[in-house]
Amino acid sequence: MNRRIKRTAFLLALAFSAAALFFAFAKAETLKRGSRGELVKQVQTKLKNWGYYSGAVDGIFGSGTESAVKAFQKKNGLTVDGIVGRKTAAALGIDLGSGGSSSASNSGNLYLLARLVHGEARGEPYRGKVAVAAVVLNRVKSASFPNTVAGVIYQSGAFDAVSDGQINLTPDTESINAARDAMNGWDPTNGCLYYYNPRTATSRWMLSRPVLLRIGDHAFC
Amino acid sequence: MDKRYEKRKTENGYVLIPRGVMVVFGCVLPALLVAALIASGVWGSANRVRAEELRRTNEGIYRQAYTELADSVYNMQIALSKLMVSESPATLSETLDDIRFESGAIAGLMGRIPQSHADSVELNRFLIQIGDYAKGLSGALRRGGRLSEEDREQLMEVFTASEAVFGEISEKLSSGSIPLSALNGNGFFAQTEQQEAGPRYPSISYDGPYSDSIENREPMGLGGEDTDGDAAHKKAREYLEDEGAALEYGGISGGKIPFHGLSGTLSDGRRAEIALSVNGGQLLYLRTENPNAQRGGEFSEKPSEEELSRLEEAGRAWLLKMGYPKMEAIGAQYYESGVLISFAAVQSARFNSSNGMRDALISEDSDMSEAINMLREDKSAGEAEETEVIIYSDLVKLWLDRGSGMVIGADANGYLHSHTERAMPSEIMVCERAAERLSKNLAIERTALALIPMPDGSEKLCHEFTGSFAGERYAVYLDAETGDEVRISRLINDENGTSVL
Repeated sequence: MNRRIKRTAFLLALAFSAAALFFAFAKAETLKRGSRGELVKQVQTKLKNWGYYSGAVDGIFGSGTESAVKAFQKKNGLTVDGIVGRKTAAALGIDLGSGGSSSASNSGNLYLLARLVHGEARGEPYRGKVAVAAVVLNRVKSASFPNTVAGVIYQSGAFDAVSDGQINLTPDTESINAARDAMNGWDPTNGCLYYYNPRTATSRWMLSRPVLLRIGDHAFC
Repeated sequence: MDKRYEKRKTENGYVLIPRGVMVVFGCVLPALLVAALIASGVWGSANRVRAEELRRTNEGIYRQAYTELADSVYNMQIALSKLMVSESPATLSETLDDIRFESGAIAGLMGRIPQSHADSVELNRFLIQIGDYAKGLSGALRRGGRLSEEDREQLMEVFTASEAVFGEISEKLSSGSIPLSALNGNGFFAQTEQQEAGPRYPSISYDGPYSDSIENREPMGLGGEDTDGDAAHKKAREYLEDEGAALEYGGISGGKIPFHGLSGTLSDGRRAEIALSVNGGQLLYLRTENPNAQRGGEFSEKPSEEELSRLEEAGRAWLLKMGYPKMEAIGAQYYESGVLISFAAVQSARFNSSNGMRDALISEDSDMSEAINMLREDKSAGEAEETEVIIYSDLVKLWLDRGSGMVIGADANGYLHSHTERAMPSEIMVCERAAERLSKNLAIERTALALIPMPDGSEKLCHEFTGSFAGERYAVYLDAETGDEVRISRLINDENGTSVL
């Protein structure tokens, strides 16, 4: 009896451990048939833009959405189950943990710029957010930098948010508006090409540059 | 003894321990630890394999970028050498286009390699400017120009300097294999102490979008005396239209246009910030809190034509009050509860125009003839008449609240950089004659005279023809003096507003 109790307890413990580890490494949220909301809309929009989905972008995960997800999964070498889990969401470029985002814009340079603003300056005042986006656009116009928004943002070591992955967070409406304002020409930095946080910056090259203005925690030069 | 307990000997005698506790500490916890250890090991091992795969993938991408960079640098060097022995405009133009192409490729590749910007900034600048310079020269040759002696001398200088630069890079990048320093970002392009003693790359003197002359251009729209903090306070209240605004002076900031920064609270409690040029105390930008921001949901639809006209009128009235007498709305972007409207300056000018070939050029059976005839009714060629010219560089952008029509933001950076009274040519080609040079596919809807910015920093007076083809709208710009096609823009009007491609 004593031995049987021990064996049962051991097996239970193993099962519990395995389950605990599984849930520790898996995202809790998935989207599947019956799911509703903003995230479903994001999935439908992406699938529609890429030609997998022809139905309405209504935020309701129905059979059409499920078929489109399956087609997408098959095409991209993912497990074909019609469920948008962690891997499928990543392949779609959607963050399931974000709880949804503004649908103001999710295209091209604007969205990339908004993601950088969110990653680099989400604690900054609005003007500071626009300023970060304006620095990127000033670089695009300068001969000293790559001449595309993506080239500037992903230039090696150029932005901490790229290095630490915060650029992949879903931008909020304020970051998207800040990116739009900068793309529409507002440049609070007055032409600056660099910025840094004086409390955390360590680059001697950067710290040696004359500071032209300060907005929030950032010094612009 | 009760079977639920087990007897254990301690220093003070025997104690009874519940069997359940014994099971937990004797079996469950060790089993949990063992399971966690095994799972961690498996997970770590899988991750290590994955990390190694990613590292190899990255290395492959970097090696590809370096190899292509070496190829492009070599190709550019070869093309520059060909220029030295070329005379024919056609061959020169073709070779310059090759240089431009390679420069574009290099610009992209320089952004993909894992090198610190601080190390590669000067090289990047030099290579991009070569391409930009080549583009300008090639364009001039296509338009019938020839290379000047100054250009030839400068090309020789660039070639000589670039030979050494390219030799160094090619040696680093193509001597057998890509060195490790190129893959881990350890200053592959960093200058040696000897190189730091003098300029490593020659400066190229030319006019183009990436030229030093454009980047360092002085603002044209400033004027008057320098202002101090008190004057800035007074001007700020004027622009904010609020004598009671509680503003805090933030000092002078540098940059292309040094400015006073002020921020604070308006009489109605809204936050505001404003920047005014030190020279002349002119508006650089202002932002005030949107009183109706929380009503954003009410404005999910893009504004109607009527609403947009009303907002444009409100914006024009504000501009007039602030000292911008003639401004025309040229586009709008829609936000949650606001609209951004771009206004361009308008300058009156008097032109002599010739109608000598006008009648002969209008084809009776063409679809365009009706539009041109309509234009003909509006214009009387052959007389000096006052016409308004849109100055596209002199921009002021206004953010207006859709609920109240109130100006909640302004950006006059473009206006301050370029505004001045322009000298216009005395004689231009009549609109109808210029229109004959348009593509027959374009159904003309509207015409105007416009001064448009050119890539070399100059401006060109053009007839602007706005029209449509296959459901899409375009603006075609023809040189108002020669009728040559200068630029074609595609006009996008979607749920976010108007934009130009």
